[in-house]
Amino acid sequence: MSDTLQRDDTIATPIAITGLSPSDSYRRHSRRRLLFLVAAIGVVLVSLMVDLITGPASLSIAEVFHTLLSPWGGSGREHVIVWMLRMPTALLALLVGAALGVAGAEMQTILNNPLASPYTLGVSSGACFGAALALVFGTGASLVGSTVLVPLAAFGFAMLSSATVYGIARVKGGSTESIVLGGVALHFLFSAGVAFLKFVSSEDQLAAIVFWIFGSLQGATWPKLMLVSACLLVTLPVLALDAWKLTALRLGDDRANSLGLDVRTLRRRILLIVSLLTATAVCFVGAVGFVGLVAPHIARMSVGEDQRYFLPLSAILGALLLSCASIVSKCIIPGTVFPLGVATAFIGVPFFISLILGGRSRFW
Amino acid sequence: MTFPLGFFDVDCREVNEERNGFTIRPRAAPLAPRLERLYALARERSFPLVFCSCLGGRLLEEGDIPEVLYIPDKPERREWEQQISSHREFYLQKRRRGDPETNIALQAFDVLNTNANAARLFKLLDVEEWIVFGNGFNACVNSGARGLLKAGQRVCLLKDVTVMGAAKYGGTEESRLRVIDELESLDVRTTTFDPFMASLTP
Repeated sequence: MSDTLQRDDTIATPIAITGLSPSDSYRRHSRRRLLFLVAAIGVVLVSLMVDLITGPASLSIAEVFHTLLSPWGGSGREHVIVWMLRMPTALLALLVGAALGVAGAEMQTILNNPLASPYTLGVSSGACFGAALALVFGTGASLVGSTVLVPLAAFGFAMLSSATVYGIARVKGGSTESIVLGGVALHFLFSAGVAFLKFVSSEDQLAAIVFWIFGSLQGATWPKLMLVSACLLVTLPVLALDAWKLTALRLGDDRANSLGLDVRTLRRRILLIVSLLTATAVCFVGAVGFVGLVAPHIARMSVGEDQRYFLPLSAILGALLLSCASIVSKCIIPGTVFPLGVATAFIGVPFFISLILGGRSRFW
Repeated sequence: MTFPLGFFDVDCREVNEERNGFTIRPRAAPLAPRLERLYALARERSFPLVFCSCLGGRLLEEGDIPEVLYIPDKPERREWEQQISSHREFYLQKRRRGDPETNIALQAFDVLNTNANAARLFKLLDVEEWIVFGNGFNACVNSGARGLLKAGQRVCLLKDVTVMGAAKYGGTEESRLRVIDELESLDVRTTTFDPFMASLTP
C-alpha cells in the first residue's frame, strides 16, 4: 500500500515544479497515458503487418497490401496465403496474447502480487490437467470429447486452481509468500498430475495429451478466432466496468472495503473471468508462459495502476508480445517455424530485464 | 525448369533395410498399387517427386540412394541447388528429436516448418500444381499441404491416396473430413485417383 502511495507521490512531484494546477496536471497525465495507449495500438498494428508480410512465400509488401485491401475480391494464391493462412495465425497471436495479458494483470491485481500470472500460479497447469483428464477418461465420443468436454474440463480445473490460490491467500491473510508458494505448489501438483496421466494413458492417449497441451498458432482458423474473440468480447467489458473497483483494490483490502467495495465478490468474479481467459488461451495455443507475467508489468511501468489504462495496455502489450513472438518464430531460421514458447522468451526476457534495469526503480 | 505437375509424397515409402531402395510403409500398404502407378507416372513423364518422412519409419540418410537428391534442413546448406536439374526425386530431410512427446512439441511432423530449404526447393522446381498424397493424413499430409500453400504453391489433394495418421494423432474419420473441408476452403483442389489418372491419359 505504501508503495502505491509513493508512486502517486512521484506522479505529483512535477506538479509543484511545473506550477500546473492539480487538475491541469491530472489532465496532462491522463493525456500522456492515452497517447501511450494509442501509440501501443499503432505498434501492434505494425507488428500485425510485419507478421502478415513474413512467410515462406515470396510475397512482396505491395502484394500483401494489395491483397489486404480486397478481402472479398481475390481467390488467387495471394488471397489464400494472406487471408486464409497468415491472417488467422497473426490474429490468433494477438487475441491470445491479449487474453493472457489481461488474465495476468487481473491476477496480479486481485492477489496483490507481482509474481501472479496464469502460468506461475498454476492456472495454466490446472487447465492442462483438466484437458488431460478429459482426454484420458472422458472422450468416448470424439466429437463431444474434442469440442466440448476437453475445453470444459480445462476451464473447470483452471477455475479450481484459481479458487485454491485465492483460498490459500485468504486463509493466510493474503501474504505474498503464501500466495506464491501455494501457486507454485499447485503448478507442481497439476504438472505431476499431467505426468501421472501420461504414465497411465495408452500410447494414443499420451500423444493426444501432448498434442493438445503444446498447441500452436499454426492451426489457427477463422472459427477458432471467433471463439477467442467472443471470450474477450464477453470478459473485457465486465472488467472495464470494474476498472475503478480494481484500481481501488490495489490500495489494499481495508481501503477498498472502506470505499464500499464488496471485495470478496469482486475477487470471485475476477477469478472466474481470469480462469475463462486462461482456459481459452490454453485451449488454442497450449500453455504459453511469460506473457501473462510480463505484459502487465510493462503496462504498469508505463501507465501506472489506473485500470482504465492499465487493463487495455496489458491486453495490448500481451498481444504485441505474442505477435512479435510469432514473427520471431518465423525469422530465427528462415524457412522454419520455431516453437512459440521459445520465441516468446527470446524476445520478452531481454526486453523485460532491460526495463527493470533501465531507470524505473520501482514498479510494484 | 517448369513442370505442369509435381508429386509430393508424404511418408508413403521408406528406405529399405539394405539402404539401396525403397519399400512402401506398412501403414500405406493398402495404397501400394496406386502408389506404384503414381511413381511410374512420375518417372515416365519426368515429373518431380518430392517425398519426406513423417513421425515413423526409417529415415533416408544423405548419400543412401544417389538418384535421390537429399535436401538438408540446414539453411546454410545450399549446394543441392546446383544438382536440381539432374534429379527428379527429392527427399526432404526431417529430423526426429527424441521421443514422440518432443517430436510433437517441436512440431517435427511438419516438414515445411522444420526444413529450412523445403520452400526454396518447391520454388526452384516451379511446378504449376503439386499433387499431394500420403500417410498420416491429419498431421503430416495436412501440414505438408498447408506448407505448400504458405509457400505460394498450388495444391491438389488425392483424397483416396491418403492414410489416416494413428488415432494418437487425432486420426479419426471425423478429423479426416474436417481436414479435407479445411483444405478445400483454402483453395486446395481435391480429387480422387481414377479421375486424376484419367485426366492425364491422352
